Amino acid sequence: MIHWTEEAEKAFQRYVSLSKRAVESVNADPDEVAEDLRRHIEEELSKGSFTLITEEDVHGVVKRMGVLDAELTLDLLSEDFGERKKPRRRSAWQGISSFLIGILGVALPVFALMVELGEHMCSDFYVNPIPTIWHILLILVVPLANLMVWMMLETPLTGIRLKALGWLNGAAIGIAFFYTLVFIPLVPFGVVFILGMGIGFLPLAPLLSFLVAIWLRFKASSSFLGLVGYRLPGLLAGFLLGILILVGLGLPATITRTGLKMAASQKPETQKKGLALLERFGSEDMMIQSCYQRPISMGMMDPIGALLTSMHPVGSERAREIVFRVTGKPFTAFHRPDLSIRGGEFLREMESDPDQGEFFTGSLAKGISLVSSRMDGSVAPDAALGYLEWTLEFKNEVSWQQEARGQIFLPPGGVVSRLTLWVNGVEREAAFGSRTKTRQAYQQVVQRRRDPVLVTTSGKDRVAFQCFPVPPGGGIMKIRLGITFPLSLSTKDKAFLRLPYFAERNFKIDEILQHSVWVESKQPFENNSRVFLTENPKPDLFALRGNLTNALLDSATGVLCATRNPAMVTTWAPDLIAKDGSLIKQSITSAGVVPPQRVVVVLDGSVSMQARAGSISRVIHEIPDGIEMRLVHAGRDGVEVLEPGAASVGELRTQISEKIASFEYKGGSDNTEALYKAWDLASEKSGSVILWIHGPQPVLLRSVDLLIQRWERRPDGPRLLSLQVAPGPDKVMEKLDGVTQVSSVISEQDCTKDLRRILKQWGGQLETLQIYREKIASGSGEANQPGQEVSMHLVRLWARDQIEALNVTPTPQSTSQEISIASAYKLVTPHMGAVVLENDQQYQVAGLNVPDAQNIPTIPEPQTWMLILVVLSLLAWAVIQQRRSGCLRG
Amino acid sequence: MGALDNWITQVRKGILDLCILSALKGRERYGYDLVKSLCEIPGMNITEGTIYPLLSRLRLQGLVNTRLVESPEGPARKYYSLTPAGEKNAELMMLHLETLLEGCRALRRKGEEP
Repeated sequence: MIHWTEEAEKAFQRYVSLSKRAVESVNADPDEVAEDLRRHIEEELSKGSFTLITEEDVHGVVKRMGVLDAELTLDLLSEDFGERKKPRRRSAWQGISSFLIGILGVALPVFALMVELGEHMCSDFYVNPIPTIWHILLILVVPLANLMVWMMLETPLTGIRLKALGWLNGAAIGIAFFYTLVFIPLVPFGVVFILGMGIGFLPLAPLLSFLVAIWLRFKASSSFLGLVGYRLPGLLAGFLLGILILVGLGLPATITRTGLKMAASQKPETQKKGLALLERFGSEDMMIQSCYQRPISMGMMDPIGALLTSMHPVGSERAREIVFRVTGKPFTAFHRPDLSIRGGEFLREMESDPDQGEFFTGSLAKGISLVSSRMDGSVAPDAALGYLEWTLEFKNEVSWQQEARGQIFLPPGGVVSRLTLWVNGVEREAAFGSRTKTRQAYQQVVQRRRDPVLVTTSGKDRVAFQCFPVPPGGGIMKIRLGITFPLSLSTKDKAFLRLPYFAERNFKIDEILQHSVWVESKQPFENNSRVFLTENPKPDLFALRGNLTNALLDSATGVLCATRNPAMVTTWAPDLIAKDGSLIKQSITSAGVVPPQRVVVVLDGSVSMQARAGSISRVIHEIPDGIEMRLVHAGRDGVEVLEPGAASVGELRTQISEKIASFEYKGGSDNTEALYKAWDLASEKSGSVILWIHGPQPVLLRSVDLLIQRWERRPDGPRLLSLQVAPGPDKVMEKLDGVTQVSSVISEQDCTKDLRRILKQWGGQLETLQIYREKIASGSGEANQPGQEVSMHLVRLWARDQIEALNVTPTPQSTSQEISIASAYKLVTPHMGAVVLENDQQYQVAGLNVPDAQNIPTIPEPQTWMLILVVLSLLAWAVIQQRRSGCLRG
Repeated sequence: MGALDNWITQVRKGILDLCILSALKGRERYGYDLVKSLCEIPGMNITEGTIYPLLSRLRLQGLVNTRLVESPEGPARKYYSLTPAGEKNAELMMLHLETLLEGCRALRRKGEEP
């Protein structure tokens, strides 16, 4: 009996599988031939008394029998016909070649991959060759395939395993070829480094492993079983598969790059197509990455996209606009991409905050975060005013100094009246000066890398703050903003405080961070929130305290309500700053509201409106009879105007309401064109109002200068009422700062309630309360009238009123007056800023008054007698100090 | 490859089928024995592995028959024999070859005449 060993059977099957093509090519039956060959081998070996057929036996017989190679059989007349290959001998060259295969084809690509994973060297300098886990796996195919083919040379495979290996080798050649093309520009550097210093093999890894993969294929083809003419299968298929997978993996980047390019086009149609492409197939991560001043070509493995868009890549500013138009969110709302910089100083600069020292918030800075936030406030509901101090601590985790920047929504009508910076643990107060002077002082100090903080206005009820440097390596910078504000009154028995919150920022706020809020009042609070606790620490003092996440602070939870005495309509405070014995009197009166003749509703078509569209649609239907309505929809793809046509007022109202509910809200829209259109429609009738209902406007997609020009030329033009339905920056309102015809809706709870309140006031269903502040000169008969004396914050609010009035028709004189008033009362206004510098000398160099301890607001604001006491204490302290120093000298 | 080598290869290719059919003329032979004898033809210079596909093809063409016979010395043997068509083809091929050779010789004789 003849028995075949497993290895012998494999060797025979391999021989048969190789022969199959040849057998078929001569129109023979492969199975029959296989049986004949088996029988032949058995016959031959059994004659020699063999009962066990081993692999070596098979090899011996097969070699003598000759290969049934396709070409050989097809062309029996070839010169190699019947030639028997000489047995292979292991030469010195084979040893060297094995060594080279192992080093260059297996170890080098693995080593290069490990180095890149650990050090991101290529990502830093050139491209990111492993943007996804799939790229890592594909790269590993190359050394794996090389290793397997190398092993196969010693241990032959058969059948499907042989074919699979052929494909794997083909794929390895394809992948290595792709990476070789990508890394071709680095090859000369690699060669130079190798020649010069003996290092530099890493950039050559793709090329060398590619050459080894090809070499191995030839080696396998030529030396397989020592037979001539054999070819490892699957070269083309494997090659194409490898290339296609890599191109496929780069497809999102290619699409994103192409989409960005199209969206940045000047042609509206191309823009639309680009936005649609990005919306459907664009990679959000890659779009955000393109916003961080790093060309998209850096870090992407999509040579096709790079080739297509290499001539005019889309800049980061333009990319930011596009991200807003596609997503409806500012790019800062997304997680900052890891740009993987691990280089020295030069590379660090690439990673550092490019907008440092600028007046806009810009991009999220790496490693900087808000680590502590507390609000301490005091409200006087009877006087409808209050003061709040917001203390913020920023931490910088990276190894270089950074600037913390942000924009804050103030309580409506509020004004920054105090700014403090902690320098070496000591509080330093701000100097208030013209916006230009304070900004110059800030920028000069930033350049010198010292400690300044700057606060300026950035639109109606908004301020921007910048502080630098937040020390590196986990250092903390602490600032405090004092805000004087009026309380909002919708009825005489309730007063609302909308807590300040961030409109935009360049620092991170962790979800676990909580804003610690503590507000006191002499009247009880109304508290329906679970977040806040009410306290009554003293018989005549009430407190509301709670910890809010940043999301809650942004929401309606950030609105506090205090009860008030409805009979208290007159309050006053002495103007201690004017020092002329005058006082400021505040009266709360019911104002008659003249409803607008026409309301042009401008509806933002951004995605941020989607959640509120239904409720806005219902409320808008409640617009009082007798008011004409128009609707201008600012969609992403253009402006749509709904005009009455033949419809009656009621029908039009219904149509508008339905339209608002049915509009498609997507991406981020440019509202400026719609505002222009609305202005035209509103200006057709005197006393018209543009009611702009919108989401955040983090990007100014078009200039609003023409709108400002219209109001400058026609001060009696339509009023613009802005109702922002979701928290976030508003660059349009920022630009319209100082235009008196433009105002924001004072938010009490949520946008729907705010809108309903406005409509009810227009319909006369709700009392409209007006707060009027006036200066009563000393000696005037009015000075002795009854009313409650309140804090100096009333005086500051009066000063703010004066400044606002001056800005109705701005002139150089009015600006000068504004600066004079704001400087005296220490307020941050459109032409005034507050800056804290490190020392008195810096203030003098900047032409600013060195801040003094006088007139710094506190919580609660001291009454007159307290101020006198403080002044006396200070005087006593100064006298004692003088005497002491005199004693020491003596 | 020289002109002669090329010619020899062409002849070998053309004559191989005739050699197989001739080897089976008048008797049946088992594969191993047949292959060995073909390989021993002087000047043929072929390998054993090349013959089995040709045998298979001849069977499929209906020129040879096969049958298996158990052998006490080793594996079952596959015996090949000519079919009538095979015999006829062998005759025709031989005739054709001889005609060609005769023609060739005649040409040579003419060339040698004075």
